[in-house]
Amino acid sequence: MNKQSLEIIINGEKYSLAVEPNRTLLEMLRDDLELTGAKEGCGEGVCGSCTVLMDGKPVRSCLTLALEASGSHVTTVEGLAQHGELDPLQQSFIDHGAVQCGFCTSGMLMGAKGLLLENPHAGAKEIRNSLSGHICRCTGYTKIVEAVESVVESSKEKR
Amino acid sequence: MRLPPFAYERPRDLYEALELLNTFGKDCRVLAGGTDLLVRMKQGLATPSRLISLKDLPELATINESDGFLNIGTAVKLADILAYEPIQYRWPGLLEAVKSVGAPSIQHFSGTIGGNLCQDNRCQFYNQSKFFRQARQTCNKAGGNTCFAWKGGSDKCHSICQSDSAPILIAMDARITIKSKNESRTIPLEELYSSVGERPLTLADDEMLTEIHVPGPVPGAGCAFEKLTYRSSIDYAVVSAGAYVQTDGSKTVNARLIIGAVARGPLAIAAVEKTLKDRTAGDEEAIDQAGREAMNAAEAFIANNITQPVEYRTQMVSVITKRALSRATKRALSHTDVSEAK
Amino acid sequence: MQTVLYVTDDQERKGNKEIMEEFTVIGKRISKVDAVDKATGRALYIQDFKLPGMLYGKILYSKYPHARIIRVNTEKAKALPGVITVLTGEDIPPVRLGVYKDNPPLKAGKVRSYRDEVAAVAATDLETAREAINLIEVTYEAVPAIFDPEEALKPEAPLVHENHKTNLLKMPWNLHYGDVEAAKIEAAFNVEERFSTTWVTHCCMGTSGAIADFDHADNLTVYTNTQIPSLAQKDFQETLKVLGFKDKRVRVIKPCIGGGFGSKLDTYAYEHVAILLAWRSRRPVKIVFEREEEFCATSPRQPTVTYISMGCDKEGKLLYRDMSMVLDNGAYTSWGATTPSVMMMPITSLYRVPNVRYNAKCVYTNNTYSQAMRGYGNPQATFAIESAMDMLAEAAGIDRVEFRRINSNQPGDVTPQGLKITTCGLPECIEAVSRDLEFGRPREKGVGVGLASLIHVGGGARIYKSDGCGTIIKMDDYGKVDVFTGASDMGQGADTIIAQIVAEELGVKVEDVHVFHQDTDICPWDVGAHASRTTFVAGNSALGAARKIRHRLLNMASETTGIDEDKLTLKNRAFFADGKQVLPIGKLLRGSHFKPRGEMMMADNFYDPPNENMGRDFSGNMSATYSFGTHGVRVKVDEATGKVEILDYIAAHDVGRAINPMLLDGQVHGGVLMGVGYALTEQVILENGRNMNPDFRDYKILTAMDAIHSKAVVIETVDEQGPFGAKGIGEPGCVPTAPAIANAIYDAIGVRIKDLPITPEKVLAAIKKKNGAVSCGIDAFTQKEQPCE
Repeated sequence: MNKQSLEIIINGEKYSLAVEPNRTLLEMLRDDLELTGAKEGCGEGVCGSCTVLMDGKPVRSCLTLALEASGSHVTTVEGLAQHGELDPLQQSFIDHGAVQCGFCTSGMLMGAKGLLLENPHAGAKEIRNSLSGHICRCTGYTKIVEAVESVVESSKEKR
Repeated sequence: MRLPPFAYERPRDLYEALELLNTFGKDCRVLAGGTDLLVRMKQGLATPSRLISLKDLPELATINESDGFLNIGTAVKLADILAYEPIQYRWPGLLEAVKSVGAPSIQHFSGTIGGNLCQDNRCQFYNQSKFFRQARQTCNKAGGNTCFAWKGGSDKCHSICQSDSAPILIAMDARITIKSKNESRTIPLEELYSSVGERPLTLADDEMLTEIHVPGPVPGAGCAFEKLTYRSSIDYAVVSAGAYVQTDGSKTVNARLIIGAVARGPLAIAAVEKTLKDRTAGDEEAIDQAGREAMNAAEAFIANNITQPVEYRTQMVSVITKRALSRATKRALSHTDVSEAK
Repeated sequence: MQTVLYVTDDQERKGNKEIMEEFTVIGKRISKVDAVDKATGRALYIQDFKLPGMLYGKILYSKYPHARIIRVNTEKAKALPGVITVLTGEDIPPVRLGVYKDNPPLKAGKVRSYRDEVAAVAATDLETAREAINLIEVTYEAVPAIFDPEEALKPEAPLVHENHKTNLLKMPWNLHYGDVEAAKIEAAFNVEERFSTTWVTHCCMGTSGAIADFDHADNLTVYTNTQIPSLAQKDFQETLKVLGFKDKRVRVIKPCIGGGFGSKLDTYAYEHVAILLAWRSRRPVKIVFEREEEFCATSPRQPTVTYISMGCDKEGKLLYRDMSMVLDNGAYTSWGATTPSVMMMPITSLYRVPNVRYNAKCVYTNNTYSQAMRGYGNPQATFAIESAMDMLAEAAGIDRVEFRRINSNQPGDVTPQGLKITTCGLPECIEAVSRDLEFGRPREKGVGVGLASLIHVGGGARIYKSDGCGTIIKMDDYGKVDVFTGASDMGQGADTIIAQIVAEELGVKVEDVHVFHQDTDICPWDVGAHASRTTFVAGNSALGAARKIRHRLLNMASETTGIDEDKLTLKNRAFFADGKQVLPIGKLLRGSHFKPRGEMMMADNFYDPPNENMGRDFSGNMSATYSFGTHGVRVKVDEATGKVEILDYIAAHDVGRAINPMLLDGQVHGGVLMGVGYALTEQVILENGRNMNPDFRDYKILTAMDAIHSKAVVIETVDEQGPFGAKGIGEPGCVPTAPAIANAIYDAIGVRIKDLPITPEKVLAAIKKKNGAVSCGIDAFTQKEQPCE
């Protein structure tokens, strides 16, 4: 199958690429660009491990064609830290013990990031709801929800 | 899991899209959010040689209200429906249904309303990998001639329609616009569903669902969507129900009930209208009777196509029916003047 | 979420507080040492590894649960461009896996389950490997299969392994302490019941995978997801031997693991297939499972059928417990078959019970084969015991909490099996739960409370001849510490706990300590991450090594400064005397080898806990200490749908000492939610051996929306044997969850569910039965009327 060209901005960097139409965004990130932070946990859009932001919205990169991302801004977990500073969500995940085996973590972070971009004041229930499509087998979710809540709280304090 | 090869088209306008459909017909599929289609393609259940992306067709991604209808473009994301504020108080039943689809971060930002309505039927023996299916004969839906979901086999496919938005939209008397290169028609949503498991939609190969038209709320009417699942997220329905109840302030004058996740298409329970009509709105005995009628009607259709037992699902049709009707009635009685209700 | 710290009595609390104040690192909420890498996407899992020239392997599984392999035609697969190697069971020497060595990595002659590996391919890319697998033609001749372990014991049942002559595994799990028959006559109150549990699986988020790579001298490196690097090394070494390689080096490298939970306690066919493909192709070969494979071709927790009878005297003192079990072993034998060894612990020793009898039969069937999973049999046994405890309390007319108080284990007890209870916080756990959930308070309709307790090994478990773990510590010229441990971090935080222990002992900061655990070429020997043993055993091992270093440091510092050793303290990266800093550690270390007859700072330690192997009668003190806990839950039951909602949850655990309360919370919350899934939603549905729900849609792990409000209560009993007083806590969180919930459901609506999981349809059927309805529902798969409950 013929490759088609694709212009995309990933973590702030512009890429001109050519991919086959059946390449998923996840395959392109992991296999072509060696951005292995996004993980494949199920390959059918259920577990959430492959979540990245596309134009600020969380999407399953395993169920998104790379070509569908053409013209978009994509952010992966590798692009979450800015100028060497961890994103507050990353720091909070670390501080609250929200990371155990770590396999779901990058998807969880991107899902939470998408939520907070949309609603910086999300409450516990919204956080749970919005992360309910991310499966975690280690934490029982408690610490993850606490970590996101804490970022919401501290952003309130700052204002 | 890898996707099989295909060609990718990203038309710039609807006309171009319809022309592609016209040219390639059954060899191509419309790609909206991809949450249903791409999984089926990975499993080898759908093998289109060409995908037509709706990504660059903003005309299919708008929500507006005109002539008393809420018009939703087929490519509107579920998240955008939830974010459309008037839905909160004017179409709460639709809100309930859209909210209940999958999980927010899975379906809502990718999944579209058109995709939810046009998703293929499901069955636990069919929606499996190629490897899983190879160990058995090919079933009706996959082009063979047997059905594992029906006791003793069947020459028909007994898959189910798992759309959450269809039951409530049909109950609300929604209409849809279907377009092809040379034609445009607007029909009741229920006519989209063929009740044929192998090919559950009535769309022709060159046709595309482009818009959904939901009637605005009527004073004295209310609707509700109820869905039973084992988990609070991700799950498809064990049973779902969309209910519409119209009252004159004390009596029920009109009612519609559609059951989801039990039959090859959304299942309209005709007896419910007769049962509730002219009875006191919210009369428990009448609603109980409606529940039994729904259960009796659904029983004939329920096959072993999801992991929950047939008997349990049958019982639950009654429970879910009653809950949906009760809530719809409550809304009907409290929303006597919708324009002010908020 | 709240964490409450209790200690056992006033005196200890005081003593404890004094100690706590001295600690700088122990007992603190310290972030995991690997958290930054994992939160920034830098951490590498097997999925992320790529070696030059690497091939991709795929495995072809059986189409039948039980069949003779008549012919395997690989010609078309071999002809496909990009295919380098195709192997079948006929092409390989007789490699055998598992506890019984009954499992070849590729099957020849016969398949015994759907997950049986029939052929394997290595190709230059994954797509080609997949395509090649589909081109392999296998002709089978199906033979009668058996899926029910109780049926498989009947003489007419088809044999899974003909040469074994019977489907019953020759593992005689029988014990009898005291006189159960006499106690039955003596007892004032008795209960007798049947309970069952079903298949559940680990669902590690990171799927299984391995890369095998030979060098030119035939030394083998295996990158693999394992909880047992040293034992895996031995298994791979045996495979090499069969391949004809003698005296070769096997190196096991363990990348970050996306969850373990017991799933990686054995080596699997896919790892050996990767080795065989690499051996044949002379190139590195990587096999990584897809999610469906992870569900179908890894080994779940086995189902059990349990018959229990239990009795007490008029005062409520337990007199006897009599249990027998049938376990579905599946088609091959891995550690699943040995879980009765751990089941014996709650059976003989959860609560004081003088007369105990137990027998377990592990049975071959044509199902997938079973493996260890968090709790190692304990959840299945405790479900029966703690459900029956409530039933017996009711029969005796004694309050459920009081009944448990009366029978609680106490410090100093020696149980009938010979388990020596040292510290025991069980009474405090029971109190914490009953106080918090207000067991006496009036009930709303459909709402109920329940509790259940647990005992688990907390000081290692002597399954093998050794229960040991090695540690090597070296310090560099700047006071930084490298710890080489045998322990396996699989996400639970072993590295962090070890770093804390070493940092505390050496007076350095946690960030000064780097723990290496991932490479058998670098790290010393260990039996593996099982039995909640890592904090206790690897912790003690690291502590011992650190003590040696500390001793030498103080010795050298005394020589250098001329100050008496006992006047020197080591903290904040320096030596202090009379409250003043006299010498930084780094300076001392640099000086130690920049001199004639210099020395370097390095120490090793092998710790093997003072526990015992079981004797022939299965008695023996298998662990150096035991963990206890009690869980309490308030549920609400929707009687129309049968759905159970959890309103409150409290998990009280005796942990010895919380080295890191944050990581401890994580183990408890994670364990509890896994336990709630076990109780309510999770099941691998096997239809005649075929996994019907190999995905996250239909295998129902609970989501963040279902996650419960749980409160973790920590009881610190400061165990003398534990490192800084700690006991193991990895598994206990998921042990008593199911019976606590079942007991709460009974309290709420008066129906007792005896079969896991407690799905809405089972609850509803039980309600209907109680209310006198005739039908209890049709089983979805058998299409037959199902017996109520």
